[in-house]
Amino acid sequence: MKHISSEPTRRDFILRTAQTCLGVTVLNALASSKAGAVPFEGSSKAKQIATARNVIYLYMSGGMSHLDTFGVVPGADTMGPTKAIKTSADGVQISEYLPETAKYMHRGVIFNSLASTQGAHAQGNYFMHTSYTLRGATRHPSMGAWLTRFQGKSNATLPGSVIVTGDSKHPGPGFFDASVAPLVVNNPAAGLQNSHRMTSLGESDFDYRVNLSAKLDAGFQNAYNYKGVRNYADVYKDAVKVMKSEDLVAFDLASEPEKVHEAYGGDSFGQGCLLARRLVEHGVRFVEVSLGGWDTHNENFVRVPERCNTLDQGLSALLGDLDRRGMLNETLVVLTSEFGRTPHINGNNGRDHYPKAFSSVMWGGGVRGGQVYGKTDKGIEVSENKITPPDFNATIGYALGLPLDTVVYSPSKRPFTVADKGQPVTSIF
Amino acid sequence: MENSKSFNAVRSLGANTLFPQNNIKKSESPSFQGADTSSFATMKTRLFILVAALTAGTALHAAALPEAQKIDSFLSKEWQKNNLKPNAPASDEVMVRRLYLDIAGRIPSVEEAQEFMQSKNPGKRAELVDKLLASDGFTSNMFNYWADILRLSDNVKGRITAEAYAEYVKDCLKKNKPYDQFVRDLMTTEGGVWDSGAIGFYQRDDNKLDHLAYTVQVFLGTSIVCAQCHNHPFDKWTQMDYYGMAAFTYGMDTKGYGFTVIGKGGNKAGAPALKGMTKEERKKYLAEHKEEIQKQMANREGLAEVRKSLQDVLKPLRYTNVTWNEKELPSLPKDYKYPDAKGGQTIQAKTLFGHNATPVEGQTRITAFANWMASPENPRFTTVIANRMWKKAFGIGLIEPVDEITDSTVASNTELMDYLSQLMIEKKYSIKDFLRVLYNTDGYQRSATATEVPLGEVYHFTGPVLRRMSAEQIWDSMVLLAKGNVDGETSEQNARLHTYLGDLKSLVDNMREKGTEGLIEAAKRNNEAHDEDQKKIEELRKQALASGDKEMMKEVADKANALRKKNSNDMLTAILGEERAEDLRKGYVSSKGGKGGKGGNQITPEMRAALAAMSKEERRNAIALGTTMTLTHRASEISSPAKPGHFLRTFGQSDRELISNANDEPSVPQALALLNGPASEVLNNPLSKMRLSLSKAATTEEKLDMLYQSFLCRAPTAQEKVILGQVIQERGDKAVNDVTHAIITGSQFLYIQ
Repeated sequence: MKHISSEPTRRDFILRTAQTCLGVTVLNALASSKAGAVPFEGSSKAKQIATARNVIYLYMSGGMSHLDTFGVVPGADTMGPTKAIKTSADGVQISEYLPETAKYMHRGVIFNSLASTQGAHAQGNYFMHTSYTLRGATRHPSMGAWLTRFQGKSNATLPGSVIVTGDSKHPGPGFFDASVAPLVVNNPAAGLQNSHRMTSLGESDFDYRVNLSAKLDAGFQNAYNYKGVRNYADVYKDAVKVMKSEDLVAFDLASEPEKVHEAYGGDSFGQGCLLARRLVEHGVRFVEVSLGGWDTHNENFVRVPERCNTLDQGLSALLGDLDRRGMLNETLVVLTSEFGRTPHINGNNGRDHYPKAFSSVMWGGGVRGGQVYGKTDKGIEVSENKITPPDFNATIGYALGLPLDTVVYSPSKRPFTVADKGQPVTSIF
Repeated sequence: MENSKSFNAVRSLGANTLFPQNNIKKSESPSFQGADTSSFATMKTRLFILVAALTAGTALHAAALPEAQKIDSFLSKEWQKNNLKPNAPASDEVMVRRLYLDIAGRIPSVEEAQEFMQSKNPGKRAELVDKLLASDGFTSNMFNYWADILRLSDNVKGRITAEAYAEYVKDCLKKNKPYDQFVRDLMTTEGGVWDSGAIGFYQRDDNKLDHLAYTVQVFLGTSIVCAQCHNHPFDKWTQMDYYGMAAFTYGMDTKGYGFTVIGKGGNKAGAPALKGMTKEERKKYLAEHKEEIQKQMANREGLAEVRKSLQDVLKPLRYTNVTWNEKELPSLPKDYKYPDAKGGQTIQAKTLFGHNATPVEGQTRITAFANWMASPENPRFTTVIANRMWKKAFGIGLIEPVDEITDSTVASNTELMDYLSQLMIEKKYSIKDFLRVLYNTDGYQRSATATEVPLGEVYHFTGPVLRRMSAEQIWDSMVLLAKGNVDGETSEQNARLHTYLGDLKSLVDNMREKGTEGLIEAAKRNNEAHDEDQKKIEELRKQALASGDKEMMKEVADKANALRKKNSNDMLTAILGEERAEDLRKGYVSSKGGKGGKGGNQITPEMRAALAAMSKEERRNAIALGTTMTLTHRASEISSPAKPGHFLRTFGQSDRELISNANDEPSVPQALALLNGPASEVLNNPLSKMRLSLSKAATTEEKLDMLYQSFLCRAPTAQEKVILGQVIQERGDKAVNDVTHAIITGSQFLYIQ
C-alpha cells in the first residue's frame, strides 16, 4: 500500500509554518487545504448539519471523581458520604456539591459510560484531548486545532482557538502548523500578552520608533532575499494592526461590570470562563478552560467539595450567561477529565485513578437536554452504552459538523482523522 | 560503562563483512542546478551593507588547516562543475559576530568584538575559533542544540533525573567527550541517578518501544517509527525489524527502584526479579523459593503496614533508577498480522542492517548493541553526526532531512560527505576538533548567501546561508546586553542537586541494609507509635460524618493528613537518621536560573555610580526594573523548555516533545514581544550592561555608534548615519532609547550573516 500525499514533509512543514497565530496571515495558511482528503476505513461516516458553532471545553485536570460529581449512584455504598440531589431535569440527579449547576441540567446531557484505557495523568489527558494514545514520534492535534484546520476562522484578527491553562503539555496544534495553533493564555485576567504599548511610551513615540525601525532595517531587507526576512517586516505591520484592532477588547476582562466578575468568581477558572464567553462572542470558536486539583488520592470528600465550589460557580455563571444572551443554543459547553476515580475508598479517605468508568457532560450546542447517556453499576463497571474518548470527541466533532472520516496526513506521512475511529453518539441531539 | 577496549574488540571482531558498503548508494546526484547568473547579479545589488563591510579590509585568510583546505578543494570543484562563483569573503565584522553566535551561542560584547578587530595577528580567526571552542559559551550553545535533539525536558515526571541528565550532557560537552563514547555511555547506562545523570536518557520515555525509535532516529538518522505498528509504508522496514531492534533495549527497566523493597506484590519494586524471567523460570523460581514466599504470605499484614508507611518515603525514589535485565524481551502485539510470526511471540534481538550485534562472552546485549550503533563501520552513524555538524556550520545539510535517511538517500556532494565521515573518524569523534576544521574553511568564512536556497534545490555551498538565530541565541544575546558575559555559570555545579542526590543514595543504601525484615519491623514500630492518634482521628471522623458538619470534616482531613505526614517522616528518620531525613524532607526545589543563589542582581560599582546620578524616582524605577528583569541567565541555565508564552517559546524554542522541534519562523507574537514586552525596557534601563557602556560615550552620535557596535558588531553605514543624524535632530534626548528599540524590533538583529 502506498500513500501519495501532497502534504509537506516535516522540514517543509516547518519552513512553511505560517507567520501568525493571531490570524493575520502572511502566507496562505494550510487551513483551507483539502490535501489528502479521502475517506478512511473505520472512521465514522456520520455527517449532519452542525448543531453547534462554538465549543467551550472545560477540562477537569487530575481526574475528576465521577461518583462525587456527575456520575452519582444514589444509595450505592461506593458513594461514601456524598449525597445526590435533584436537578432541573426530571429524574436526573447530580452531586450535592454542585447545587447551582443542578439548575441547568435540563439543558445538559450527562455521559456516565465513558471508559478509557489510560490510567496515568499525562497519557489520559492526551488521549482525551486528541483521541490518540501518547505514543511514538507523532503529536496529535487537539479538537480546537482540528476545528480551525477544517473550517478556518470566523474572525481574521483573533486566533481560531484559545486555551486558558497553566498546563504546558497541552497537545495544542499537534502536527498541524502554527496557523491553526491554539493561543495559550496563562492568566485570563492579564489579557493578550504584549498587546499593549509599554506605559512609559506614548503613542506618537511608539509610532516614531516603528517607522524608524523599518527605515533602519531597509538595508538588510534589501540585501537578503529570504522569505523569513521579508516576513519579519510583515509581522511587525500585522502586530501593530493587532494592537489597534477593535477585537482586542475580547481579551479585556476589565470591561465587564463588577457584578459579572462576582458571578463568575475571581479565581482563574471563573475568570477563564468569563474570558471564554467574551472570546466566543467575538468569533473565537473553540475555547478551553482548565480547572486543576482533582487528583484526590487523599481526603477525597473534603477536596472534591472544595473543587466543586469553584467549578459550580464558574460553570453555572457561564451557562446562565450564555443562556441569557441566546448563545447557548449554538455553543456546546463540554466538561470532561482524563479519567474518574476508584469507587473503592482507599486508606487515606481518597480515591485513586479509575479509567474504567467515568463521567462527562455536554450542555447546549444542539443537544437534547435533561438526559443521561449510559449507566454504571455503582460507578464500578459500565453497564450500558459504553463509549471511549474517541467516541466522545467524535460526538463533539459531529456537533460541529466536522468530517469525521476525512484523512489528514501528518508530516511523517501517516493518516489521521479528527476522532480516530470514534463513533459519535448521535442520539443525544 | 563500556570503554574503547570493548569498542575495539567489536571492530576487530567484525572483520571485513561488518557493514556491506552498499547501504548508502553512491551515485551522482541527478539534479544539479545550472548556474543562476541572473540572481547572482541581483544579489550583488543587494549587497550594499556587505560592500560597506568589505571596505573594512578583508583579505581572505587562507585556511590554515590541511583538512580545511581539503574541504575547500571539494567545494571549489563543485563550484566549477556548476559554473558558480563563491560568495565574497566575509569581513572581520561579520565573522566576529558569526563566530560568537555559532560557537558561543551569543553575540560578542563590544569589548570582545574590539579585541578581535584590533588584533593584528593574521591567524586571528583561527585563534578566535579555538578560544570560543574552549569557552563555557560553547557548552551552553551545544547544550541547547542537543537538548532539542535529545528532547531534554524538565517537564517530565522525574525532575531530579531530568536535571541530573542535563548536567551530565553539559559535562560531556565541556569535556568534549568523543561523540561515539557519549552515545555508548548513554545507551549502556545503568543504576541510580546519583551514579550517573546519563540514566535520564532512558527515563525520558515511558514507553520502551518509542524510546528505541527515537534512538534510531537520532543516532542513525533513520526513521523506523511507522514500523512499530505495521510494516513501514515508504521504507523497507518491517514490523519484525522494529521488534528485533527493540529487543536490544527492551531489558532496560525504568519503573523499578533498582532494589527489592518488600518482595512480590510490594510496590513495583519486587517486580524486576520475576519480570526478567520466562514463564518456566518463574515457575521454577517460585517452587525453589517456596518457603520464603510462604513466609512472605504470612507477613502479608506486615507488608500492608510497610507499604502504607513506605508509600511517601519511596516517592522521591521514583524515576531515579534504571536496571538492565538481560532476559527481558519484547513480544509481538496480539494483533500481529504478518505471516512470519504469531501475535504475542517473543522476539530476539536483531539489527536493522549490517552484521548482527552478538554479545561476546560476558557482555550484555545492550553493550553489544551500543558498540554496533556507535561503530565507525556502521554506515549511518558517522554520516549522521558529520552531516549534522556540517549543517550546524553552514545552515543546510549535505543530506536533508538529516534524520530520514533511506537506502536511496544521496548526499548533495557525495565526495565531500564521504570525506567528512572520514574526517569524523580521523578526529576520533571529537566534535570540537571536527567543528574547528569546518570553521576554518574558506567556504565557511564567506558572506552568507544573499538569496534563499529554494526548498528541494541542491545547494553548492558557495558560503553559509543566512540563518535566523535560534530562540536561545536571541535570548542569550539579550542577556549579554543586559548583564554582560554570564557564560561561566554553565559549568557551575548545582550544589543543591548533588546534596539531594546524596540523600537519595543513602536512603537506598540504608533500606538495602535494613532489608525486608528490618523495614517491616521499623514500620510496625512506627505505626504502633501513631496508633492512638489514628484511632482518635477515626473517632472524630465518625462524629463529623454523623453531624454532617463541613468545617469539622475539613478539620479531620487536615489532622489525618498531618498524621500521615508525621508517620512517613518518622519512618524516614528511622531509616535515614535525623539530619539526612530532614534534608530529604525539604524536597528538591530546582534552583535553575540562580544556582547557589548567585547570578541574580548584584549591584556592581558601575551600577552604583549610575544609581548615584539618578533622581530618587528614577532610582526606584531602575531598581524595580532590575529586579523584575529576567534577562539574567543563559537559556541553558533556566528551566527548559520554557513555558508556552515565555519569550524563548515565542521565538521557537522546542517544546522538547519531538526531535528537533525548534523553529525559526517569524510570528506576530514575536513582534508583539519585542515591541511591547519588557526586553527593550530592560535593555534601556540605565543599569543594563549596554547602557552602562553607552554612558562612556560623550555625544549622542557616539552613543548611537556604540549601539550599532553592541547589537550588530559594526558601525552604522553612510545611509544609516544620515537617518541617525535626523533622529538626533528630531528627538534629542529620546534618540538613544528610540534607536535601541528600533534596532531590537528590526529583523537584522535576529539574523546570523
